[in-house]
Amino acid sequence: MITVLSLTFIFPFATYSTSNVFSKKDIADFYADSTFEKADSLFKNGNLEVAAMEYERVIFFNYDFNLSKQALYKKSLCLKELHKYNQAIECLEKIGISPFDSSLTHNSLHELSLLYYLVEDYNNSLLKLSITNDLYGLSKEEKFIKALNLNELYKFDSAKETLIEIAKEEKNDSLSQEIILNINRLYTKKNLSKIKNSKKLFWISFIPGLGIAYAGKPLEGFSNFLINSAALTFGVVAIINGYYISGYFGGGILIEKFYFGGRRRAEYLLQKNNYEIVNNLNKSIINEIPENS
Amino acid sequence: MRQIKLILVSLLFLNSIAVAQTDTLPNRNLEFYNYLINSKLYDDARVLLKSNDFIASQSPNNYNYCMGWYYYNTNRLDSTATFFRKVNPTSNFYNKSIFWATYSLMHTNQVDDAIQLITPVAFNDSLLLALKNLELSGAYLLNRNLKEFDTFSSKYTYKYYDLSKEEKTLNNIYNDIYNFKQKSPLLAGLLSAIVPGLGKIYAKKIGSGFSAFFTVSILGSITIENINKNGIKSVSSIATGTLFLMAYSANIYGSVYSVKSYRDEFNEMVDYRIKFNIHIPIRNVFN
Repeated sequence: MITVLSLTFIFPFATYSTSNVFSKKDIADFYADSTFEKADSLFKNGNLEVAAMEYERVIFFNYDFNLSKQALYKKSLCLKELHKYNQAIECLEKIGISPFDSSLTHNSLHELSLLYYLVEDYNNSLLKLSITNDLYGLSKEEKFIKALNLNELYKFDSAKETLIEIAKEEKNDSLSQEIILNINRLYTKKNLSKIKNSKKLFWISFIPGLGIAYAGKPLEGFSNFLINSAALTFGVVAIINGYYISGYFGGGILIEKFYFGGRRRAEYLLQKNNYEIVNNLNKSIINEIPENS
Repeated sequence: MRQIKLILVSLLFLNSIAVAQTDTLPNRNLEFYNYLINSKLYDDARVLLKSNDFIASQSPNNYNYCMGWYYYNTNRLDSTATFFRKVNPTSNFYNKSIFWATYSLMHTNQVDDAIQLITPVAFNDSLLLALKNLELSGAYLLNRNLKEFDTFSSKYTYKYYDLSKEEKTLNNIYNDIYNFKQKSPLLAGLLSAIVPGLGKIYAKKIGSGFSAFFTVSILGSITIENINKNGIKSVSSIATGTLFLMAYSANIYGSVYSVKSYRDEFNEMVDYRIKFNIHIPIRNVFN
């Protein structure tokens, strides 16, 4: 009888007490800590997709905001390695800027500046670098990213200044001088004059074929000029000879097609030309600056 | 005896701890899965679904439901139907799965399969019965089986907020289909032969009609001008005349084709409206 009574008492007590000894938060935090270790181990072993998912699990299950931010940062590193740059950016933007966790903030700003460069959002990359500069100053790597961004935005003078700053930080004087010489060689007027101005192109293109020639294809520009001239001549001669409809419509339609087509072609060639020049410039810079700088 | 009692008490105590732990692995995995889907983290959801830990922690019904839901959210409706169809009637997710499977089959133009899937299913709940009715009527409308649609639409109750608007809309779509005037390709061709572009305007392609009219007229004018100046046997008259005849023939052919294009566009728009209006009630009822 006593045994039965005690069993009746123990059962609900045990049920009640155990659910209050470990609260839902405690269980979650414990679960999250062990999952973080698991995620770190997967990341080290290169199992990046699963690691990213496990970091997200940490974010979901734990109540510690700092742990969540660390998980977001590590997840972004996984996504970066998987070339999912936009998703990595989304993760890092959720971390925000915190005065209480300066190393995480600094690291996430650094990664953001690089990721924005990789997705060709140069203005945002420079913005992140500017915030980094205000809070912590820029490291050599960050100055380098800044120079690459400035090149993409055709701000060559600022880019050159930034690269010279990096070169001057080099401890070895002779190496530093050599790098500065190479930078000056890359940023000569002769090299930079190959970059074409789109506003200038707009006005030049009023003369058929001249825009294409300015954009780097003189022969094609000359052909375009000849075709436009032929169409105009046809129209004028036809009208003079009394073929009003043929002259007006025939000549007019031909001119319209070749003239505006030529302008669009010139714009495309200009963008392609500028893209290739900046791309080659940035590649040369990457080759010139030593890895351990 | 005393020892036996002590053992029994300990066993009961341990069992109660297990009972107190409502935080079980299957639930946590499912919770996490739902979070990933709701946050649109589909890559992570895919990785979770493939993990041995998740597969082992879920019953086959739960797993098939999760797979179906993942494919639905990532717009792969053929796979959606495959997994939802595997969910057993014993599962809590069965009703939701059957409707989503039906919708997915209709969306991927397997309408007959969708009808076969949902027709034999019996529902005790009057809302689900009304929803089934709506889905079937939508399926018959997609098949342009207006007689069967009439049969099912006569059972519309209009009393459920989640469905009433779509019930009315399907009736309107039925009226649009019924009143749709078929255009004659022969008449379109004839009209364009008389006045270039008129056949296209008849097929409701107004811009295209005017464009054809101006092109053929200009080429015709140039031909007449050349014939007047140089005679019919001159090279320029023959060249421009050939161009004119080509444009004129193309205009007639284009008008005939535009009637088919008009019909196809109408059907496409109607199908889109039907699919939209059978999709929304399912979301309303199950979300």
